[in-house]
Amino acid sequence: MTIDWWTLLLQTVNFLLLVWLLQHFLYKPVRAVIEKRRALAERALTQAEATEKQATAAKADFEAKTAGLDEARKAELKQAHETAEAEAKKILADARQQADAIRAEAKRDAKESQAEAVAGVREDIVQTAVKMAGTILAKTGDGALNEVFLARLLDQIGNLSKEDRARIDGDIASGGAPEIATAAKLSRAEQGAWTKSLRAALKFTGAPRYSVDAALLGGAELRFPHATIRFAWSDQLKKAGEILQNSRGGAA
Amino acid sequence: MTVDMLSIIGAALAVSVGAIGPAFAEGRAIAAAMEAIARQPEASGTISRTLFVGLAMIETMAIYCLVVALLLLYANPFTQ
Amino acid sequence: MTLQLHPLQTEILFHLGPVPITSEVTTTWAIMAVLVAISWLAMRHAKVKGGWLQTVVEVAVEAIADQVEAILRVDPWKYLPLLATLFIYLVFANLSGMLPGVEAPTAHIETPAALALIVFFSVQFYGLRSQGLKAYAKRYLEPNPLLLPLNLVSQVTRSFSLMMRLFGNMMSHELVLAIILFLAGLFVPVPFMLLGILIGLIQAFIFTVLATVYIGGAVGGGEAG
Repeated sequence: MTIDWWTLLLQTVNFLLLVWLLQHFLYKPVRAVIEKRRALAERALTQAEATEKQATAAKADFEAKTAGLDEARKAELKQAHETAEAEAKKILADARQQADAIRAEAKRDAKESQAEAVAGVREDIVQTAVKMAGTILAKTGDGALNEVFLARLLDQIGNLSKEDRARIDGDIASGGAPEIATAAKLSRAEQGAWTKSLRAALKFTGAPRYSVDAALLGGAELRFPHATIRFAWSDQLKKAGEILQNSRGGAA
Repeated sequence: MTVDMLSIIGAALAVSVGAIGPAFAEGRAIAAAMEAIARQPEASGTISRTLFVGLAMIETMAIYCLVVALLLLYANPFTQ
Repeated sequence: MTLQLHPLQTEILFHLGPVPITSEVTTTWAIMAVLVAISWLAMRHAKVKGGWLQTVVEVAVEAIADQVEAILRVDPWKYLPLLATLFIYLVFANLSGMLPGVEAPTAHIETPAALALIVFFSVQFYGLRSQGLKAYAKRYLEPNPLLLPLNLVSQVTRSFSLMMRLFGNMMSHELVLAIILFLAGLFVPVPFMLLGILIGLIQAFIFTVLATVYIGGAVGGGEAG
């Protein structure tokens, strides 16, 4: 086995030359590019970190805002709730009040109608009572009491007020004789007695006309053209009924 | 028996006998490496690199035998 | 027809003055020209976003740098010119044997010897530079001064085995191919040629890894060779 020393030397030199050439043409540029890329990546990384920080801050801000919004909404909701409750209470109170008013009105109405009914009934009763009394009086005043009635009439003439007396005197002076109405028909003797006593009281001269008026129930009425003098049970009864009605009604 | 004939027999013996030992050794080395990779797949890079280096070391023995055989056949110093 | 094999001899093509030029040297020059041309074309206008050629070259260089860093566990760029050039040159040299009419430079003894010599002196150089003369010399006396001859011998023999491994593999592969071609004919060696590609790549890888391990052992901190 032989070794060619020249070839060995040449190959050694060749290889070292290749190392130098590749160092110049390959490794240096590759390393430069890698360094450049790393710098770029680092810059991008720092940029990304900054962006991330910004994004985190924005997120926190947004979250804070959202929380605020939430609170505001809650407050609004609460307020609305309170308002609604207050309104409901008010409506309820109004309704209650209204109901109370209606009830009170109804009660009042009922009381009034009751009072009216009571009053009506009372009136009916009084009227019935008056009618009954009138019927009874009409039967009883059958001539027997004519003297009493005459006396009463005369009393009234004596108690006349000055104006009434002047009016009656005027009527008599103009030549009129009074019309005498009685509940029961007067007999001839009674008529003569009545004419006599009345002429004495009123100083008239003409003959009075006599008529019957059952509505008087009992009593008599002197009718002049401009004045009337009367004493009638019907008046008394009416007055009594009124008194009865008023006194009972006031008590009720 | 001439020196040439002895050289040929010697070369054949050197290669054949010299191949036995490295063959066994390489088989054991590869089996062990396989087991290691199966157990730790994440370390397969380091294991296979070490395996290659080890196989090269083992193989060197067989190569030495081959070189001896070739010297006997083509550059025998006793036949010149 | 007889088989004429001279695997241990080199053919001299021509003489350059007194210097004989063999096929190894011319092939190496061609490989150098190709490598420089590729490098120049790829990195001529190196940009951050480069073309496909720049990307391929960058990926290759970075892959080698990663491997070297995994073994040395220091910044690989200081050792990359030697180690990456070793790997790239060996890949091209080993695979150049696949081209018709070309013999792989590593299939002859001189090229592996030259590379092993360079690795041997590089290991000493890097060891001296990173540790200093005293500390580096002390390594030969460890673990016992009695082992100094053994340490020295191991330095020489591992370089020698580095050379013999590459040479033996490449040469025997070409020899086997020649024998099979002679015995069987035209297309039978094709599978063996495919195997030859694998062998060439593995031998380039092993040579580089071992050189890296030796350098790592010399500068300290790396895996022990």
